Amino acid sequence: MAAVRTDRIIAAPAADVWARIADVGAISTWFPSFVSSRLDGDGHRRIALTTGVELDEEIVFVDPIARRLRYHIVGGMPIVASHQATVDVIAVDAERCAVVYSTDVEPAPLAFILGGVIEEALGELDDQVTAAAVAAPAAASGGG
Amino acid sequence: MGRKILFVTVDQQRYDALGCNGGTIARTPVIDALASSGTSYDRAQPANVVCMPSRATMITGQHVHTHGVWMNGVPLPADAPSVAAVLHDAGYATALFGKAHFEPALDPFLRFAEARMGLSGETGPHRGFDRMELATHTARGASHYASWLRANHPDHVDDLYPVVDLTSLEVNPAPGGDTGAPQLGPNPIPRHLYHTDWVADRAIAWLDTLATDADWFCWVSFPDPHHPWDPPAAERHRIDWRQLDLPSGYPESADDRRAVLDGKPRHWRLWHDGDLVSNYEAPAAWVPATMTADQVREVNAMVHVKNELIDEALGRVLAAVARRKWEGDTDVLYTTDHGELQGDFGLLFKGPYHVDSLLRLPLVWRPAPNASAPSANRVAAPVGLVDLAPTFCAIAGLDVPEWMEGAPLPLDGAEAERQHRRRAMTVWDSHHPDGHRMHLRSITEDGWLATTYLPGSHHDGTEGELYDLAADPLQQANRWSDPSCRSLRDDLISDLTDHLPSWPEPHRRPVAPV
Repeated sequence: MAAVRTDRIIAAPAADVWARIADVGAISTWFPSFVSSRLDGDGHRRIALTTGVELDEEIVFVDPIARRLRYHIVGGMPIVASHQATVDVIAVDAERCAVVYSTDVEPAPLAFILGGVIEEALGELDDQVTAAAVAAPAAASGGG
Repeated sequence: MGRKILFVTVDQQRYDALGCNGGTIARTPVIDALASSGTSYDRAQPANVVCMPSRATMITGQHVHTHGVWMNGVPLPADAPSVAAVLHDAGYATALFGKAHFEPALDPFLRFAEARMGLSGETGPHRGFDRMELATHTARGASHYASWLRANHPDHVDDLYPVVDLTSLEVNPAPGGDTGAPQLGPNPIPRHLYHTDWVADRAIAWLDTLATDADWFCWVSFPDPHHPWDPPAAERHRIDWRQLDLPSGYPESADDRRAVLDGKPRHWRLWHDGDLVSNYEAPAAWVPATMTADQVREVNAMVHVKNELIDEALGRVLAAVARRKWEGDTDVLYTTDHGELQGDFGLLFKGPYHVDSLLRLPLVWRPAPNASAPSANRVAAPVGLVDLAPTFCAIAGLDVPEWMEGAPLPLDGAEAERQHRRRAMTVWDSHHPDGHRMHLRSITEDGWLATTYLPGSHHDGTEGELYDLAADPLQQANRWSDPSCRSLRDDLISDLTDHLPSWPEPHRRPVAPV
């Protein structure tokens, strides 16, 4: 088992970032290499990868008070012997938050791969959330 | 019409593999002929002893801490500077055939172009290469070779030894061959379908598309003789492992092996005894101490079978160049990215072990005959693979870009002296999810090899290695703590510190084990 943690400070309120992460069925909108995603009625998230593989993830909990999400990969990647991911959104101040994405995975070499994908995903999430934050006041003022 | 450049690399080949360097097992007449009509370098050193950092140095002409590929699994950014781009922009047709490994080999999410290209069949442009057709050792990966084999010869897909255990993602420890050594396999694949010949075939096919007056840079990058040691079974007869002498670097007595290892920093003995997995280059489940003398012989025999196949494949490429009447205007450079322990010290594979097995590389430059350069020279001064990209620029008549950190290779000893060639430097950094961290800094200068260890998970920063390369060519007597060598040692490390580029934060994340 190996652990990898990826974190990023995002210049946006924690509530805004949490809203994206808590919308678990929409992860493909900000996670590179994910073509599509959906949350099924059985509490599992299914994700189509660019490789044609469909990942099956069990959503363990979505805690809006702690702003913490936990899930396991349970199917679609036979190489994964065990997996747990925890995503925390922590307010730094009113305008910034820290996203901490912690993954435990076996076999250990997967930690490298997942860490890299997650790092890229947090970058995309950052870009989207901060772009939306810029656009929102402009829209409210009627400018562009 | 300028000088054409044929850049040939192999993977994981020792300096002493070639006949021109004193090798007596593999027959390498093609490479030997290049050496006899050009320059051989007796102290060519990589910037790092594993694939990705060393290859990033080749394409950028930069030291490891500048290009930032500090460990296997750290990708070279797609917009990193590239000597191929420099040559392309100067009007050269550019191509790479075979192993690139500027990006991770394990890429299940297809984040990187090398994997996507191999599966889609796209061939570029990428990194300044007009065309890239990629190959590795497996038929199950995302390379052009693997896709080609699956599509055209599916019955042979399972012939190749599986390099990686797909349940653990670790290097496969499965025993094979006659002796049960790891990474040995019978491989029934016909020779013409093996990746060595495929790489040569694809390079020749591209050269045949070029106009007669084209200037071109062709990087022919053979994946061999890197493990797995599974040459086509029909070729194994070339070298009978039972007739081989043991390598001079392999102490036959287990007690002698342990004594040599005990004189080195502790991770050497820990790995030998199976108490440490120091890197992902060797099977985690394989314990070097269990290796037998016969296994050493068989591994060496299979490596040298591969070396012969490479030499013959290169001969076909050179024949194609001659057929196009380009021979007089073509520079040929041949080298490898790093060496292989191949039984030395009772070890196989590679890792944070800075000795000549891994550090001293074959390097031959046969200038274009029409350039009237000196021939049949040997350069004893230290040079580095960091000097390759500047050399390509010089051949093409281009100024060496400021972002390159090496210098064009000298063609003889006198030129080496004029260039003040004094040192070659190599670094190792590793940081694994299990917390293991190692940092080595090495310098070869004035006939000595010195390595200092920075603090890590197994070293406190006081350890080191110091070898007199003339008196101790096998690097079995570590003189780091010898009081009579203290001044020399300190001078070497001081010189290393003065000349090694700094390593600015943040360090890029490794995104794969290889």
